[in-house]
Amino acid sequence: MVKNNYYNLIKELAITDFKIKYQESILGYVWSLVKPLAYFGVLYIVFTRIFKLGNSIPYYPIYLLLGVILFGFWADATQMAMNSIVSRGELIRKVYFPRIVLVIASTITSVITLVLNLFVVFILAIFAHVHFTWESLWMIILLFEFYIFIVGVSFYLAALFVKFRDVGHIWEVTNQIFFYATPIVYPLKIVPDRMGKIIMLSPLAQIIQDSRTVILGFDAISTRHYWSFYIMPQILVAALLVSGYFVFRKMAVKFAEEV
Amino acid sequence: MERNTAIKVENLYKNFKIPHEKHTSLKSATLNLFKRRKYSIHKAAEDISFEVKKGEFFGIIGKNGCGKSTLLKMLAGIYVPDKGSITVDGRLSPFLELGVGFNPDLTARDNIYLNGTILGLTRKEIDEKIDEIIAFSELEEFIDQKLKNFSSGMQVRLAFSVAIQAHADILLIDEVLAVGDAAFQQKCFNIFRDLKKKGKTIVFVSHGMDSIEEFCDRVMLIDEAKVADIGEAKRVIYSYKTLDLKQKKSDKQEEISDRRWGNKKIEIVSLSLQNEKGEESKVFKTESIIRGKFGFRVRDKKVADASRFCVVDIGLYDVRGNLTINDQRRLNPEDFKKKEIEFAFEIPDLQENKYYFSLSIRNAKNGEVYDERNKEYEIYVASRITGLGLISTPSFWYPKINILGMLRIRNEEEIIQDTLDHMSKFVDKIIVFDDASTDKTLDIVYKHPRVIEVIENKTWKQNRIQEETANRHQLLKRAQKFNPNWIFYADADERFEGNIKEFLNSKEAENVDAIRIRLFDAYMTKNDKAAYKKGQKLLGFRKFFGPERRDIIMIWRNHPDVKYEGSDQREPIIKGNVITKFYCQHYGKSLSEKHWEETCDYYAKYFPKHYSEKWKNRRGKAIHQESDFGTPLYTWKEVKKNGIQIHPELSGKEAK
Repeated sequence: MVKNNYYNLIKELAITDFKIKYQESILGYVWSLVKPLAYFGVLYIVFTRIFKLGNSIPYYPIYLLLGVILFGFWADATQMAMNSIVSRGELIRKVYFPRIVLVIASTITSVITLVLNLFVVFILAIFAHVHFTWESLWMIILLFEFYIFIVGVSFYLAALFVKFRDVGHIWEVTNQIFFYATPIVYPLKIVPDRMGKIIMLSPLAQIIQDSRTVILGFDAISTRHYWSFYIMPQILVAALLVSGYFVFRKMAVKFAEEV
Repeated sequence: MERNTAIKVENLYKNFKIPHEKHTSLKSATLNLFKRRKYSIHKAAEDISFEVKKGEFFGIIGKNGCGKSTLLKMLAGIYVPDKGSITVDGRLSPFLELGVGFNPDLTARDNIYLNGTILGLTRKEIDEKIDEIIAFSELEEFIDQKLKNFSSGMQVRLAFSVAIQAHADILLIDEVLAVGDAAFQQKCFNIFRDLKKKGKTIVFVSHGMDSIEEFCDRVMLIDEAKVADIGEAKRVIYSYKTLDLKQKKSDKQEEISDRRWGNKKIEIVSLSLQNEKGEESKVFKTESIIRGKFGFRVRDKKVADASRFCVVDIGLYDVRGNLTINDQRRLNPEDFKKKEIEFAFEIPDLQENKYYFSLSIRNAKNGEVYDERNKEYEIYVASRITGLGLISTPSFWYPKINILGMLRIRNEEEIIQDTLDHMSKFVDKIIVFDDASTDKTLDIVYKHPRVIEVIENKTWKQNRIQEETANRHQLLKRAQKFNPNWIFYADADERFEGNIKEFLNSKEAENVDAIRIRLFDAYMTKNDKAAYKKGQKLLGFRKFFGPERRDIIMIWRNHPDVKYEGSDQREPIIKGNVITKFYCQHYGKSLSEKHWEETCDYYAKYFPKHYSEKWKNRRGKAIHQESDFGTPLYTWKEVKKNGIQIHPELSGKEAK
């Protein structure tokens, strides 16, 4: 296979995954929107009516929805990428191509869903009278960083999952912890400052908080409050990508035998 | 690497570690962290080296689990070898099996895109080729249905149609032909022939020895992860088959300690066996002739004096040590002056297997054995009989047959019913040689009550001019088994006139050995060009005939010496009293315009130049005003009087 054709393969696999994911259901893609929206609805009621946490935050619905959808993307993409090698075992045993193609293709499928979801958020934001500024364009950079982060983590997950199937359960639990360890439903200002610093070391928290800042145009607590740490999440993202790539490549040699 | 080498493999090693307990969970991995892991090592490749030349069709054979698939996977880059190197020059197709990546939940069309991309095609290329792919797969009506609704045969057809579009210089093919019906396999074979012609390099793993033998220039035999043999296809297949037998031997094999004995007063010093082509060989087809010679030395002069009692036995033993066939001849004084004696004998219709060629010289009077060499020379007999039993004797199935008809056919769906009915007027039983028909011809043939046997030739070979004669010979050999009084050979497009049956039973025929029948070509003319339709009578179907007359031996008295020999021979070789009688209408040129064009293409494509040129020029000229020889046409009544004999050629008189 010629090099530039791996691009075609990624595209074709991603489209296939997307088609299959939604083709048997009547509402199709709408489900991928309904799920986070329903979750959002529950959280919204809980945190505005019962705990009244969100009342102090401007545009709280959009604030919350953005967090839920970005986290949803993270959970979905890493889950699919983890499975990407194992679920295509038959392909791996029979055809040679760089195995990375499968990981990338599976994350692309999630990206398609994300883009559609963000479009809905955008529409809702307009209804909520959010003022978009030039600064909102930072969002593109943030999404890029997010994607790199996901790919880096996916390399590890996909490779390890071939050898140890426990990784699947571990990752599920880990993500539940991440959901609450990341300021999605609660504002960061309610946690003690030192803990906030630690939380903001996580690229996940950094990306979600920064997106809120650039979209909603008010100062959610974001990396701007922790200048000293500003570069740390990005370093982590880069390190994960590079090390993940090499670990994956090393382990990929044996995939065909082990999968 | 040399320029004409496509694949070079050097000292390849690959082991698989098979853990006794597989750790697929962290718990067991952690718990056993400090224990020494136990695993057995399975050797899949051990010091394998070989080269494949560019444009070569290279076969890999071996038993299941011998490591041939692993080797192919290493060539494809799917497995990484432990040691050794693989160098590939050219673009390698990544497919080993058909339909890789097929998804049952997608439509056939989507699967073409997916599978095509996996095989290295771009979306644009698939867009361009998709109609061709769909047409080849013959699945037009189903193309927008989901793949899960397809039968496995349909899936294979789809997969193969995509696979052949992959552009690569080197193709790795693993056992694709195990699936699909006979007609589709035929299609696959045709594609292989094309690929071979285009000079693609192909590495082909299969268990089908027929296809291996037909296509592969060279074959490699892998046994227990090592290269056991490599070289010319026939020889390696032989090694494979004997390898197979070596393993089977264990069950009830008699110990052959008695391979050679005798008092050596006459000693056999050499033996060589040749096949019909005169090549040294160890593989023979059934019903072929083994020719050979053995050298001998007389140690005791007295024996030569008693020469009239010296008998040479030659024969074949089967693997269990039973004497299967035996032939003997007495040595005469002339023989004792020679150092070598030549012999020839025909292998009967034996079960496919390994046999031992045995040779002995003994004294018939006192039972003294001079030298007996049994079971020393292994030969392999290739046969179409693979069922039970050692020898096939079909002739006892039927009461005495007076006139046996023989037909050699290929794709005659339209006319075959009429042909068989027509032949039934003249013959008692019919045997048919089918040359790999791909249409419904065989269905019709098998249903016909007069047909007692059909020889199915599964793979159609391109060398027509030799093949057709060889097929006729095979048919004749079979016919002779039934031991009829007369044999009547016809082609499917010939119709006869005359009271043939009555004549053959009459006193007049008693001293006749063979009959030449006068054959005229029927032609389509302007007012007589309707196409022949199934169910119509073909005898007298056309009004006009060319006067060129060929007198062809079509009926002969059964005799074992009758045979077809050489190439391009419609007539068998017959000695004796040959008379000319009866008439034949030949419809090879006048079934329909479509058939005419197909005939032109067929000759143009597969026949040597003097045929192909002639037929190329005939394209588009199905409707005749005069014959192909430029003479006026006659009605059937007239043509019988005005015939110009062109076969057998009369001296001084040449056809125009």
